[in-house]
Amino acid sequence: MLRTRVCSFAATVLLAGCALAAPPPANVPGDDAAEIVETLLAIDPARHATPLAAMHGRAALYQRWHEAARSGSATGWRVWLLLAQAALVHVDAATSEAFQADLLPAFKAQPQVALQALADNGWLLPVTCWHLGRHFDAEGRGGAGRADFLAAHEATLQRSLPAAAAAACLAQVRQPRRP
Amino acid sequence: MADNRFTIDVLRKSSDGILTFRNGNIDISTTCWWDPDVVIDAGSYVGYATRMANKADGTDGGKREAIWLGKGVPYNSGAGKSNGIFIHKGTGPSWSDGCIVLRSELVFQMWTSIQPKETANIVVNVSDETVRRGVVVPYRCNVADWF
Repeated sequence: MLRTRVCSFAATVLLAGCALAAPPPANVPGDDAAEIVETLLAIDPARHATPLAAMHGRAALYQRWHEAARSGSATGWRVWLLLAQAALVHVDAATSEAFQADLLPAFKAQPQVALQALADNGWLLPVTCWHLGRHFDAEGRGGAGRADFLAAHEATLQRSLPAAAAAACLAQVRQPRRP
Repeated sequence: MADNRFTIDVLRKSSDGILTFRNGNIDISTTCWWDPDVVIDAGSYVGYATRMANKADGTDGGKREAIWLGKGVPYNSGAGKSNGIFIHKGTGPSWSDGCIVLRSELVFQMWTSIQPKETANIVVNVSDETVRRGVVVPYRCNVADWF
């Protein structure tokens, strides 16, 4: 009896947890898509009333798509990498600094989803690989971990990307140069 | 818009600078750094005390404390304008991708004293040092000319 109750309670908790966790998006919601296009084109995002709200909105957009990427969503990875592109081309320093911290751990956790996104979107590769490479120098890391990363992932990159793309990406990881 | 009650001055030298902030008994004058590849243009900007939502390493355990310099900050001699420039913690240029960074405890001290938060109540003045050293050397200043 007690065992049944415990199992029932555990199942309830698990189901509640599943209900609370947002599923990874299969598509890009329209208002996020609009904000991304507006950001890329340096248009004030219509969904935010003030520049301060837009700044916080950009951070929230980053968080949503970072979470989507971390959940393993292929769409999540592509949109998140597009935000990295937008941050670099518009010198959104805070967002680039966030990518330099967050991209490498996410990549190491799910290299295949990330690399498939890059294989299908080669134009995202220079900025993505620059952010990956910058991780090792940013925030005083002084290059720590770069050699280990290359030892662990160089062959995977070479298998997953066209040869020229893999070489360009590895060069950015070894010695990042702002694209 | 609220009054600009607080002033942060940044005087840049060649590779680092001095950030100055005074408020009540707080008197900060400290070294600051930035990314040499992305340098905001000298000028006055309206700042907001806020937090960087994507950095979880705030001195008080929350998100990172920072001063946002507002929308449309010009950089690299007008090459473009950025909406993502902050003053935040850091110990050297590697902490910056265009932001101005200084020691965390001083950012926190400055940030804590600025009230209210999320308000356009700070003027951030960024200027570049003009260096003039020694005297103008006259033409034909040569020891051989003295004899």
